[in-house]
Amino acid sequence: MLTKSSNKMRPVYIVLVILLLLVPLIIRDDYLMHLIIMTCVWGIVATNWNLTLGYGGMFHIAQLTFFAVGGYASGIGAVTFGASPWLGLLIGGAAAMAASLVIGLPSLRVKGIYLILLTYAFHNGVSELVNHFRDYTGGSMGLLVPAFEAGSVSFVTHPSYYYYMVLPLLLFSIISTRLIEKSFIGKALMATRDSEVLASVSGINPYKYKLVTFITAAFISGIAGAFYASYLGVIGPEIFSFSLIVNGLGMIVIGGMGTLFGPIAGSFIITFFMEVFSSLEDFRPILVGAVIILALLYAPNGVVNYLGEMLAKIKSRKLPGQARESGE
Amino acid sequence: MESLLFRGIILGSIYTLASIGLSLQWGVLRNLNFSHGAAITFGAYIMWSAFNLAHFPYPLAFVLMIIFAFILGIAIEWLTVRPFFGKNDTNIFIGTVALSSILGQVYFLIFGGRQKFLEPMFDGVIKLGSLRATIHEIFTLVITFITLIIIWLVLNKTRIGLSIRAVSQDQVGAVLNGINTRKVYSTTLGVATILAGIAGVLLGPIYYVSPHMGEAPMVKAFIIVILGGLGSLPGTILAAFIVAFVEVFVGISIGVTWAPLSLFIIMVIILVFKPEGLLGVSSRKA
Amino acid sequence: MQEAMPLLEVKNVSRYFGSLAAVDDLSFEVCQGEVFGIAGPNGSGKTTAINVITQIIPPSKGEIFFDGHPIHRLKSHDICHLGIARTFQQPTVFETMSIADNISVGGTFGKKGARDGAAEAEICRLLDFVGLDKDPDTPAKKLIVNDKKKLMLAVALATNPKLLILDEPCAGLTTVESKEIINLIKKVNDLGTTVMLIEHNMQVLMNISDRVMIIDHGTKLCQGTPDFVCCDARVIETYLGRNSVKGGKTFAGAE
Repeated sequence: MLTKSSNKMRPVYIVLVILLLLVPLIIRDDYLMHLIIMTCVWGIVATNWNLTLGYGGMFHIAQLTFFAVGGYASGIGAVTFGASPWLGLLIGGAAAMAASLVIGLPSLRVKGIYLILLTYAFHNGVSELVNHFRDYTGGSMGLLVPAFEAGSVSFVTHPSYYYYMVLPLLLFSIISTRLIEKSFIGKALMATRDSEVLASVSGINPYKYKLVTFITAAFISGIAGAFYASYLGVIGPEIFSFSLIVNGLGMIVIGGMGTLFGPIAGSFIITFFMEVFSSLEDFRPILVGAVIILALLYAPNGVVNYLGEMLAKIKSRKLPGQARESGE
Repeated sequence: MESLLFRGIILGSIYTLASIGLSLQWGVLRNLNFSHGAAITFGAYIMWSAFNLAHFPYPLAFVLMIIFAFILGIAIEWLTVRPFFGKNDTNIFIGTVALSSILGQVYFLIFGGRQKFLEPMFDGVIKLGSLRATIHEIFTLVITFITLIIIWLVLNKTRIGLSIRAVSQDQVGAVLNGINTRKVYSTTLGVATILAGIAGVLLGPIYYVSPHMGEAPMVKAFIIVILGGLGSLPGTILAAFIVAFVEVFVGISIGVTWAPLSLFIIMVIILVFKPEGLLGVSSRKA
Repeated sequence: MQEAMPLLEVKNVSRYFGSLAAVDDLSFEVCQGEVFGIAGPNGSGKTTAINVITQIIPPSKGEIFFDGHPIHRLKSHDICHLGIARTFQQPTVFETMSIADNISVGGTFGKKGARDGAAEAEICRLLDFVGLDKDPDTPAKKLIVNDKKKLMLAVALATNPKLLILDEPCAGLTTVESKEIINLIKKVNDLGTTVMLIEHNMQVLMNISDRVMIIDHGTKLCQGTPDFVCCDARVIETYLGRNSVKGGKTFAGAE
């Protein structure tokens, strides 16, 4: 059944990918391109966060820690050791993976509020580490990270180059989420989310599957962090700020937790929402917070599901109507 | 040495007030509230406004703060706990995180980003032997002591207190015995927020008042309630003083930036090896 | 039947919660092929005992052997791989997954290394076996309690266990539904699976079990054939009052 439906959807996905590839040719505005790139970056973080949180039921905030670790690792690599930003992507991914082991091995043994608090403590702990080793991290000033270059061409003046870097990473996040969801790993993960006790007496080692997913998601987020640092040219302690946690969670909640495309829809909504209300600068965090609470109250399954339900409702309302018309 | 001990005791008292509300809330609702830090800040700002803008006398400002904090607590419960309670703990967490972000920004808009100095009720310094203490520090000790006694009396001698204790021991049993659990939930949040507010009032003269002043104490309060064992009030008090002493002594002997790191390491060790905390009851039950 | 070799051996197992001993120095054996019943009043440690065996809660002391393997230091999933499956008193299923996916979890992960999942035919066979007449694509959360219990049993059976542990399978069911479950347990046992059964209802237990153990305060009070247990003075004294078991009294009724 499922393979059938994904076969049916395949042309749609292909057209979608082609459209995404054409975006830089259609959009000539650099600032709009910047927003789209930021949407992609946050889409990657939110998609991987959702893989562990929405599908895996691991309620944690470590995804932003991995993002920050990736950014700082590539930054330190570039500034202290002179590594190129390309190598920085790998350094960022590897560092985030190492961090996910350090954080995941103890943290994933506990769950619920303990997992939230433990990952929150790690998040603050890493932030304290950054503050402590200011010789390497630049302390509160942060680090200036060099931009990507290919030959002698700097990417700084070519937003579309950045777009073509970040888009594959986003697509890779979606595909890996999909593959994990459909594999036995996903089955074990979702079974554990539904009932950890029943899962373990049914032969699933919850810890193992949680850890595997946690590390995978961390790796991709770390690369995204490295990209983000080099793209913006700077990485500073603001990356640990509470408001990023709020925004990240908001993307998942507004888009739809445990859905494939929800987090991307969410990151699109939040990124552009922040932009639309940019004139209201200081009111934006309030608006974002309010939207999150409203979403929790009125569309708890996210906009993707909400729209789906609305469509289904409209359809079911239409169908009897049509029947009546044809009857007349 | 005495002065270090004394500082630890003062800090421990404030941490006790900052964290005991969280512990109470865990006991009753089995969840934690991430807008607790904003509640701490709230207390400090209300006090500052009543004192500096409305020029109320200190005791009246204090009473006002308590009333407003109670209202804020009920609002937190109504907005971010009640709709999801028993259905989705995740949403309670996200809701309180979002609310905290909203409140922080509201403070910023109203009071600006600049730090405000909250004057203590009593100015001045006294000498006790070789120990120099500000009167505010003595005041902090007294207020903490009185607050704890009042909390103890409320929990043990009043109807609502008994209901709170009943609900924390047995949700279903409490309902069967005719306890209005909704009232208990909102009262608990109200009381927790009052306690946070008092902590904010006491912190104000020490750390200045700013829109996000409550966040650091909130992180410490989380460490404290975990360390003491979620839901255990004696454990929370014990842990508050342990955290305060660690912070003071590590800060002096190794370096100020090591203090939060060492607290964090303690928290990780506790969560990994004894998640039920020092005085907590094992959460694993048949 | 009684001479058969022990499949499960529980030796001096204790489990403490703080100072409370929920299971206190408990020893018993379950033999190959039998239906072994456990009874006792509420809070006597029945559920804790099987939680300890399946390592939902690790034992504080003692040893447990299954099929010759020591299992008291293993994890729940390893124990499942060795061939112990269990159900819960509360109907527990994977709520967001479909009926078919629920069963295929047991088939996919029940054996060490097996990852190919249960074939559709196997899923249908199990659904038919437990008498769950629903579309396999129905989400599990839409099922009523009785159907969830059947599904939970199907998930356990999908792991192809040697020993099936059932925690009060008839709790909360009507007499007719209970009969259905009892017949099902008999059918499972007839196919060669050893069954360990916690049951409140003495009549049910006497009917179906080869041997019965009565526990209270976490320790064994007596053990033997149903008839033997019914006549045991301590059992009668403690739970049944002056009324005889054969009159159809249940423990629940006697409390």
